[in-house]
Amino acid sequence: MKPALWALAFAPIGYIAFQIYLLATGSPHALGGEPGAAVMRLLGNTAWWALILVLAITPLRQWWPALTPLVRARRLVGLWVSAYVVMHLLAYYLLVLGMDVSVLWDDISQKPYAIAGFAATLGLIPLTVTSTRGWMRRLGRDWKRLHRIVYGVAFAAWIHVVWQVRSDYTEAVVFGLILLVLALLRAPTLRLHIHQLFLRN
Amino acid sequence: MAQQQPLPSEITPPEIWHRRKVIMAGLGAGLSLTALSAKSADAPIDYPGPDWLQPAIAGHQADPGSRDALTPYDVATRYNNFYEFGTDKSDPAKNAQDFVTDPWRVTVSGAANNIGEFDLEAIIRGLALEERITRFRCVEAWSMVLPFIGVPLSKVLSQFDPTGDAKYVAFETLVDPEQMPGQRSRFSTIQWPYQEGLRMDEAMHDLCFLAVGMYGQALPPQNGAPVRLVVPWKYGFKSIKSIVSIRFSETQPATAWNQIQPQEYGFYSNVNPQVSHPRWSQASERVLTGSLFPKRQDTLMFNGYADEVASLYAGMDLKANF
Repeated sequence: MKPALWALAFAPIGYIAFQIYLLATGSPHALGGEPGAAVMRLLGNTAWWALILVLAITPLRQWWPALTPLVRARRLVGLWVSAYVVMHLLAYYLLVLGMDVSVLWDDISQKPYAIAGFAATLGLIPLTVTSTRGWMRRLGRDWKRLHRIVYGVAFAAWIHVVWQVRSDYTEAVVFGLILLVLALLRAPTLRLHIHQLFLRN
Repeated sequence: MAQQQPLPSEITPPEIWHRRKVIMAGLGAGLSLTALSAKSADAPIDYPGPDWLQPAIAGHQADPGSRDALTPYDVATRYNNFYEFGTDKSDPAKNAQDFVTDPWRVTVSGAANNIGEFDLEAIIRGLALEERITRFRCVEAWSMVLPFIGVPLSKVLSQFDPTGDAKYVAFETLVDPEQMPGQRSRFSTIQWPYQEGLRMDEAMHDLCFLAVGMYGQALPPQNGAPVRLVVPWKYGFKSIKSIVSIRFSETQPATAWNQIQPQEYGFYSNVNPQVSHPRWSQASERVLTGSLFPKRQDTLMFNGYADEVASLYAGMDLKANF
């Protein structure tokens, strides 16, 4: 199963690299009139779907026990989310902003969709850092608690999508419904978690 | 940082358009040969357009010297906002190819003496086509340089003999969900038909243009076939595509984007680097060249046409009337 998952992880990069190759050789390609922005969007969408996969693994396993081995891959898929988010940000900086720091600053300081995107990215940092076995041991039960931030990350990522819509909400509605269903499936655990938070304080 | 402004020579000034028309009449045969060779080099979407239009368009192609500055034809025809055919920029090129653009009727109504339903052919036939190379700036902060072929809007509007009551002119695009999949979307906030409008003095300005072609050929459907508006000093969404209705009005008409988000899209929508869109800056723009790496440049007031059009807005607060 591991090789299949690795292949799945690299497929989007492979596809993007192939399209860039077509563009570079002057062949018909699928990146459209603004190839840099298209690459950025493909990377962002991949990060989103990898995140959905992470969130879906537990409910999927409960519903279909044969998928239980997927749980061992969950951490790996989570790291791909971070990797694709980093590539999405790099593409934004290099291929959309043209490395113009002043536009970057305008975006992070003023533009709600960019702020939501950066918030989602910041939320991923502690999750990525604590993904090692060492951190899992050290944090014990708190590791699980900490990693529930992932729902906040997913919500911020969804807001990032919604606030870019100009007139048609179809994609945002589809993304939002998937997220809502996944969150509801986990609601009992989440409720317990929130309850524990209050007990602590 | 943004550096490269388009050279003034990239954009044809009005005197030259008029002169070029005369030159073209003289050089006819030679120029059309150049046009043919240039066309075959970069025409993956080859849209023949209505039969009656082809002879009128033939020969109207940017002179080879200015072609380097143009947005590649492939980008101009595959990167389009035409939400009737889908919201993705590649949707119109995919979904609009079978769009029926001939015959095409335009309804003219309101404060004018010559109103009714007209064939586009009848509206255009008596007028000499010209080519204009114009900057085109989208509110999404990208820009192109496009060679449109058409006629000044003022010449078309004059045919309808607007009365003194005509203070504004309103335009509408076709409603036809059968042909336009975007109009079937359940989550679109646009109230079809797509509407746009101009104040009468803006509409009669020489820079206001009705295009029926571009890059020496008929206008492809994703670019607004068979007839679209081009208002080069305003954001692209003012330049309404596939016009089926022209209405002369005493009052300011409703416009599609203003209805959706009045705080984001004003009636005037002049290109103005000082007035940000609430969700992103308008200070600079991405010049679309089809390359992976963006070319950024500072946005110019009125998209670089300030000398020609600033007087239309004398005394107006362009932050309030954005």
